[in-house]
Amino acid sequence: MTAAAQWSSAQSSSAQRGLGWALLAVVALTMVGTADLDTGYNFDQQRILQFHRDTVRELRWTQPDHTWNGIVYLPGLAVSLGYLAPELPQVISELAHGPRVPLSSANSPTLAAWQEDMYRRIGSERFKIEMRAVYLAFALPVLLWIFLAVLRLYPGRYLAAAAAAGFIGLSWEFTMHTRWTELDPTMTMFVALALYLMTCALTARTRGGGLATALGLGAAVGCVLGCKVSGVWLVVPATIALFQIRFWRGLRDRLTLMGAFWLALLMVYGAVSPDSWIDPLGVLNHGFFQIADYRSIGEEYPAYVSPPFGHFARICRWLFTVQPSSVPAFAVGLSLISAVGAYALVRSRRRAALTLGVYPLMLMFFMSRLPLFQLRNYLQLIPFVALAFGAGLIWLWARLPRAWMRTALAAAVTLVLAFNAGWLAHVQHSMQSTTRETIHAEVRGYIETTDHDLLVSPRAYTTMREALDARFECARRPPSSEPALESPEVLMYYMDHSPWRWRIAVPGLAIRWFAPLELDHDWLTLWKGKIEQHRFVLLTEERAVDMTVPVHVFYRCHRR
Amino acid sequence: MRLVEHLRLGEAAAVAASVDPVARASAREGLADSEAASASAETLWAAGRVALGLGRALDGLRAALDAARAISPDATLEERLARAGLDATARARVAAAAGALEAPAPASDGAVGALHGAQFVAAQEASDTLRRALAPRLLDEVGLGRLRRARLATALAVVVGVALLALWPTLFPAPRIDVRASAYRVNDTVETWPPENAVDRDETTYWHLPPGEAGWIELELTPPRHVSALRIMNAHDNHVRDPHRADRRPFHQASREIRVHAFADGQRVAEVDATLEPITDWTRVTIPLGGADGDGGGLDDVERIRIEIRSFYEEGGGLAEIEVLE
Repeated sequence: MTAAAQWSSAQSSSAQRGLGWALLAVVALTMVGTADLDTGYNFDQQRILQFHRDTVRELRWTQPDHTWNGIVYLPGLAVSLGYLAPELPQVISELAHGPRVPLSSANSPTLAAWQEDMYRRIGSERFKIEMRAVYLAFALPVLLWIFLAVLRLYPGRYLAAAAAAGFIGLSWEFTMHTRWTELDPTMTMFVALALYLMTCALTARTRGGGLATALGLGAAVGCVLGCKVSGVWLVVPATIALFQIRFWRGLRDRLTLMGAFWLALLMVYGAVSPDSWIDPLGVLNHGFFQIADYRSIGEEYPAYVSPPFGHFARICRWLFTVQPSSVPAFAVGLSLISAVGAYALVRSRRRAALTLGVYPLMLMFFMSRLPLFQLRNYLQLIPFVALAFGAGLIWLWARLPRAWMRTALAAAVTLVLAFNAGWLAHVQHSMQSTTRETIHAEVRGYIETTDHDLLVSPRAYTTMREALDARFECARRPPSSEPALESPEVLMYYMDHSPWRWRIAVPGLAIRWFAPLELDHDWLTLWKGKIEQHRFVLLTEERAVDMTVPVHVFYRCHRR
Repeated sequence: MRLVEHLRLGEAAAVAASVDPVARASAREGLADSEAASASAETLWAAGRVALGLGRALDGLRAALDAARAISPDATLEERLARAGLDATARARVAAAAGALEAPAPASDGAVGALHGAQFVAAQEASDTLRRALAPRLLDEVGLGRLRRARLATALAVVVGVALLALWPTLFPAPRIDVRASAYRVNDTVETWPPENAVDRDETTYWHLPPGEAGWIELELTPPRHVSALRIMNAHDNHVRDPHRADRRPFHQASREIRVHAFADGQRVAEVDATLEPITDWTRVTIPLGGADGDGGGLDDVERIRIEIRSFYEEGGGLAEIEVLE
């Protein structure tokens, strides 16, 4: 290589570093900038709000009734304390001069005023949105951890690291969860932090660095456990990673590392989940109840899947054909690169592959044994797939024989990730602009152009009567008394069927949803959101019958 | 001062002017070698080939030190590093890493000990420090000019970006509606129905007046704007049968007779009476605001709208949604 070429190569590596960080910033800005937090009602939210009301009323900092580990409690607490912060000096002064009964609003008019103000705030949509902003902020560092983890295993590969961060940060399936009052994206962030620290352990350079990694890993696993007990499996790969830290190989050294790891884990877990030491039996009892609850659901439950193979297949289907992109072909393409990355890791970084692969495999194995499929439990698998995606890009880049092939790979990945970013912006626009009127207009547009006969629910018929009567002859007659419908589709309000009879996480459940893109309705059918009462759904007749939709009482509409 | 020097590159230009062009080319080659060696050292270390990685890290440092020789061939290492622009701490760090170059390198991965790990980190950091300091000092005039422009452009972009972010809300204020009410319903001190719920675009949240009371809700429009009508959804509990909504309880509050007052420039410019019906679906009522003469053409520069709830159905008044139509 000539001096000029070497110089140019050195310059380009520096440029790649700058570009990599800039792209990471672009991904982060896209993730935050396209996040519409005003998503209406979401699962579990009411319970969390109730806790915060109790917190304000009773001036306590733990959950009144243990339901989740403690981190779920922090975003709302942060918002409440944020409102208290400006008043804090006055509150302290009033309490200090009052009778010696601490933390009673009776002794502090300012505290009492804050309580009253907070009752009002907690009852408003504004508080929910502010709380969701904190949840989003908690989830955001996942991008950084993935970026750094790829760089740790493949130093200097900034663009691949940025692409791996883009894989998760531009994934609709991931980002839609970050906008809710939902703990799993936060847990995913801590899992990604643990993943990064495991790569640090595998590539440690100094003894001091090894010890710091053990402490950090303990803290990260403590935070994962502070989110959900199911994170306990992370202890296994963390321990394996600790045993591989260079320069800490003797028995005494390893015991020291393990001691540091467990000390950090217990201290952090205790700090973020105080219920666990204030009421350990209650927490344990709740944990066992939760496991029993997950195991006990029957086939009639909307989230039922047949364990273990049906459940496992459903996880894989979502993870590899749905999660990476809203276009299945793109999703599969990105997943193929991840598969190549997994192969490359096993091939050339066997220790790293085996260590990092333990957690996702254990999680999938144990979760597959349950009959309950809850999508959010699998968000924590995405960082591992993203890391494999980065590894796959690097492997392919190094092995594609011709320059045009490498250019094509880079262009294809860039285009798909740009499409994903564009999709997030489209989703945001859909959430902000969809109203009852726009939904009705969309449904009317469908009615005016469809080539299918229709089965229409009575309420949907009432709303769409004019459009339907213009093109169809509709009547509520027994099917036997008239000619058969020609390839009929079922048009109905989502709320025309009992929520408990919908199936969730069914790929291709509906032909089409007429609703804001608050989420992927096929996979999270029972979502309430903001204008659930106006949501229309279009199904095949077979699917409708399968879900016990009472199509026999629907209007039968023949095209004129 | 360091920022100014970073942009002006005065010291770098002075050093660069004194470097012989042939030596400059050779030194740049040395820097490129150093960069490549350091990068491969990182990759080898990350892949577990630590002995090779350490060797490449030391090669990288050697190449960077050789490159430094070009800017002052006859000086001592300390002087050379000072001329490269390193401060005392950085000079000491690089000198310490350079001093360890003579130690025998481990032959295999198994022979790599904790001290070697520290040596790897020190060598990589020293190489990086030296490369960053030397790079501008090994540019010719054209290169220096280009670097200067690039740094100035970056600084300018950052300043403009930060200024835009800071000034954006002032320059382009987003239309806002602030809301307040004469009172709102509070139930056993934990459930509330605050006025914000009437302008949150959510049809299933409400502002409720305390039971049995008349009262008002007021919208403050920033900036003042043209308003043609209000679209109002009365309080309702249409969704109370939904088994999935744990927060939904039946209530019996809805507004009946309302009076809308619109204000512009501190003066009341419209007063419209309307009667709302209790709703069983999701109906909204449009109330045109046509000014004092009721011409229906809308009002300009409306800054405040007050909706007075004068009577109610059953237990009290309330509204689910208020839309301001422009």
